[in-house]
Formats: sequence, C-alpha cells, structure tokens
Amino acid sequence: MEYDVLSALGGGFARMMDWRMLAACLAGTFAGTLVGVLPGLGPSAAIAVLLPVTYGADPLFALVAMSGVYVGAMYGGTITSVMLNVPGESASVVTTFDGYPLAKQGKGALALGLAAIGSFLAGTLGLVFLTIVAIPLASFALKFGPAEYFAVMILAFTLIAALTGGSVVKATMALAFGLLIGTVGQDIVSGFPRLTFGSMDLLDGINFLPAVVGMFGLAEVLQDISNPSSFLTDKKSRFRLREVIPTRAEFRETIGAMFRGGFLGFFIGVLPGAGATIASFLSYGIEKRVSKHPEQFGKGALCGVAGPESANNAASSGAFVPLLSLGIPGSSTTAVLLGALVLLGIQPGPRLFAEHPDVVWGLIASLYIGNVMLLIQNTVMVPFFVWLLRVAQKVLPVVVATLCFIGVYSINNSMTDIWIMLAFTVLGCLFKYADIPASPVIIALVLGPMAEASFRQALVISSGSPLVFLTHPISAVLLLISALTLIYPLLRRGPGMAEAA
Amino acid sequence: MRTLERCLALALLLVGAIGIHGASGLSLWDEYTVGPGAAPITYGAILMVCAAVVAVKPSGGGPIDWGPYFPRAISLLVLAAGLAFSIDYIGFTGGLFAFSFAGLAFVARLPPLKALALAAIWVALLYFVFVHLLNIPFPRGLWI
Repeated sequence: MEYDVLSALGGGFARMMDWRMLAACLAGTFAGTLVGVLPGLGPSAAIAVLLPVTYGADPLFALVAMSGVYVGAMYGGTITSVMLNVPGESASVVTTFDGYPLAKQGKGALALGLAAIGSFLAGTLGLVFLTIVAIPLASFALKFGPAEYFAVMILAFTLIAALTGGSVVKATMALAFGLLIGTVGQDIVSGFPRLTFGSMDLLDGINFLPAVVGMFGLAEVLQDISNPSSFLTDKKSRFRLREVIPTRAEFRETIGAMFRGGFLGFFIGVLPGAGATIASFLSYGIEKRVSKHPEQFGKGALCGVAGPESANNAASSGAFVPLLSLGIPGSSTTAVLLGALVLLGIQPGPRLFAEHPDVVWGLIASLYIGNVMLLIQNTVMVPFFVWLLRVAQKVLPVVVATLCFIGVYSINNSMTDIWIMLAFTVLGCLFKYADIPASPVIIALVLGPMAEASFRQALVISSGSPLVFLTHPISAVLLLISALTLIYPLLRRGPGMAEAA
Repeated sequence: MRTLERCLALALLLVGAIGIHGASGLSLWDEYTVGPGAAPITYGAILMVCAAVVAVKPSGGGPIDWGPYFPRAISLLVLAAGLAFSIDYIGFTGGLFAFSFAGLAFVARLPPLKALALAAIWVALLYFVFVHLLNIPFPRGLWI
C-alpha cells in the first residue's frame, strides 16, 4: 500500500469539489453545531438518526454528512458552555470553568472567538497527523490476523474500562452487559440461536442503532426535561459580531495553549475510551500548571478556554485514526460511524485505504473543508445559534423524540427496534442517575461480535491452541499492554482500589 | 443513589444469570474452537461478578437529583410508549401527530391551540421529508 499521501489527499479534495459533497459537508457541520448547541441530542444519536436518511446515497456523501455532525458537535458545545454555563456536550464541561466567567465579564464573544480559532487550528493539526499516521498504521495492520485483531479489541476493552472515567468496576459491568447482549441472535459459526428465548424478532440480534438512539438520544431528552437549563431568561448572551475576533495580544497569549491542546488532544483521541472529554480536562490541567497566573483559572482565564477547546477538537480528529486504520471505534460516536460504514458497504480497517481510497481520502478532505466551514459558522453565526436555543428550547424534546422514532423505525421498518429503543432509553436514564457510563455498552455491542469472531477464527487457524495469542508477537505485546492497563492501577493504589476507582 | 445503584446492579446480576442460563444448553467447545455457548457464559459471569461488587459496595453518595420536572420526563416516556402501542391502530402518521400534540401540550406546556397547530405543521413536514422525498413508508394502522 505505497502511494503518495499528498496526491491521495489531493484526489480526496478533487472528489469533494462537487456541489453535492460541499452541500453535505455544510449541512453536516451545521447540523452538528446545532446538535452541540441544543441539549438533548448527542452526536452519536444524531448520526444514528441521520443514517436511514442516507440509505442508497453515495457512501462518501453519507459519510461526509455524518462526520460533519461529529466534528460540528464539538464546536457547537462551546457556545452554550460559554454563554449560558450549560455544556452542550460532555467535552465542553471544562469550558464552562472559565468561559462562563468570561461571559459574565462581558468577554463571552472573545471566549467564543478564541475557542473557534483554537478548535480550527487544533482540528487542522489533528487532521494533518491523521493524514500522516493513518497510512503507516494501516500498512502495519495489514500484518494482523485474527489473533492480532482479537488482541487489539481486548486492548480497546481494557482501555475503555480504565479510561472512561468514574468506577472501573461500573465501566466493566457496562462493558460486560454490552458484550452479553451483543451475543443475542443467530451464532455466525454454528447457526444456533443464542439468548433469543424463542423470539423470531431477536434472531437477527440486537441492532446497536436503536440502542444508541435510546441511550444517547431519548434518554438525554428525558434528562433535559427533568433538569432544564435556566437560560430562557438569561439576557447576558447578546453581543456584537466584531467582539468575536481577538486582538493580536490576546491571540499571542493563547496560541501556545491552542497548540498544546492540539497535540495532547490528538494523542488522547487515538486511545479508545479516552476521547475528547478526558483530553479537554487534561488540557485544562496542563494550562493551569504552565500558566504564569494560575490564580486566574476559574475566574476567566483565556487559556482555560482556548486549550481545552483545542484539545477536544483535535481528539475528534485523533478518533478517526483507529477507526479508519484498524476498524476499531474508540467512542460511542465512532462506533456509530463504524456501523454506518458497514451499512454503506464499506469495511473499515487496514484494507480500507487500498480498497476505497476515494472514499477514505474524500472523507479526510471533507474534514479539512468542514473545519473551515465550522470556523466561519462558529464566529459569524453564534448570535443565530443563541437565538435558536432560546426559541427552540421548549419544543425541542418533542422534536428530538419524533426524529428518534422515525430514525429508528426507518432502519428496518420494524416496531421491534422501537421497543428496543424505549428499553435502552429507560436503561440510559437509570445508568445516568446511578453514574454508570453508557458508552461502554454501545462500544461492546459493536465490537463484541467482531472480537468473538476473531477469537474463534484464531483458534481454528491454530487447531484449537490458545497459545496462538502469545506466540504471535504483536498479539502478545497487545495483550501484555492490556494486562498492564488493568493491573497497574491496582499495584499503584493497593487493594480496595476497585471500589475507590 | 446507593439504593438505585444496588437495584440496578441486582437487575444486571439477574441479566447475567439469565444469559448464563440461556446459553447453558449450547456447546462450549466445537471442533478446534470455542462453541456458541462460550461467549455468553463468559460475559454473563463477568457481568455477575461486577454487578455483585457494585451491589455489595455501591460507590455513589448522596441523594439522586431527579430534577424539578421529573414527572414531565416520565410523561414523555409514557407518551412515547403510547405512541409505540398506538401505531398498530392509528398508523405512524396519526401516532406521531397525537404524540407531538400531547408532548407540546403537556410536556412543553404550550396552549392547546398552539400545540395543535405546531404538531400539525411538524408532522406534515416529517411526512413530506420522509415519505415523499426519502421514500420511507410510514405504516398505516387498523383504523387510519
């Protein structure tokens, strides 16, 4: 798989120079910004709802729109964090620490401007890394057999359990639940029905899309109804457009934070389970540590907004590396994108760059173009988004709920999927109240069948010897890293950590 | 919060047990590889162990913040379940209209006439986009 990356990327840009592709990119990024701004619908549920709409479309067209939603949501979440102290996305929680104090000082527009510029710079930096790293990683991954793939997935599971945040036991419990329900349906090797309990509807297994929409769409809507934000009467969120552009001194003050956030975010984004939220928190910690005025953090430090916002956007670029090169999603959103790729007839993984170069490079090119579109949208259109938030807040739950219903129904024209969505809605709410992470359920639901298939194939190839996982060097190293990921915190903190973690 | 964690952990413990029980009739080992029962039993066992740990020692503290408008959220969930039930009788379009109207009137607390008008416009828009533009058929009911 040796070809010139620049000419391949050029080919991707050429593919994007079609008004339909540019329209898909514009619509995706705009919808993504809306998803980020409006509470109730996360990017994973939004992409899941969008998926049936793109059936039969050109795969690149569909992927450009869905990826636009993903990166757009990262930008959009900032607007409500800064102006209203309400994070639109979990990755924007940290932005409220300094963004909202800046807004109270009348510098909300400046904070949004810096966040948009930082997001653009770091997002582009992440895309440059993605462009450089994806091909060598995919070439390396071509050496992978079932044993190596199984080891990669085990590593993904352990990282998700360790890095999702909160209790490791709870994350593992959610992961095991996702893996278990992922086995429902006809066994792909023997054809035996598993855990269907006589139901014909369950023979095809539990589709992950209704689960995503239930857990991250409807459940979020219900949470938002229970705990509505108090911004309907907030009048502080009005400003002039020219206030968005930072001065040269302000830009110079924050440029370092943007690049630090960009580097950090990309590498954190590559890790399954870590993602944009952890990247933004780590970036905030680093900025506070390197700052000459750490006492200003929490009171309106510009770097406290620029760094984390840059980090969460670079992380979304980083998340495409394992998805495109290995076919491994690191978050619920990339898990939905993986499912979307499969449904569109494209198998993600190392052969993707060889078999569908036009699609993959077109997608990467669209992310570059989308970043420019988002920079413009998130500076010029901020007043519009804030206005929309005020107007639409009351009717939003009903709008989102109906879209969830239609989106899920359209997947298979099946009422069973609707019931599955409602069951996962209740589960998603309970998980949230009990502080159990929901994303491991979705990732396990997607990756579980793949992991099981790889495990069984590896055993067949080795005539049933489980040593195959240890005699293959890459698989052995990956499994060792997985073991260390689980054991290291136990050794560091001593017994009893499991509950404390 | 601890009570909810315990209840949820016990429910998941039960799910794990059901998974193991459901897979117990399947073979664990086929020729050269694991059988169809191996994965569900392994995952069920891990789920049961983790759920037991959470049930015994829940990590959450303090009361759950259900939010001031929790009943409204439950109302929307009940309406959603009602929509799912009603589709067989009044069809998808009728069900969506009834759900939108009830949601806007009772959850969003809009005046009835405004809710009625908005629901009609919204469902007409959905029908136009999904049925006419995207050719996704909305199922008809027994009555409509």
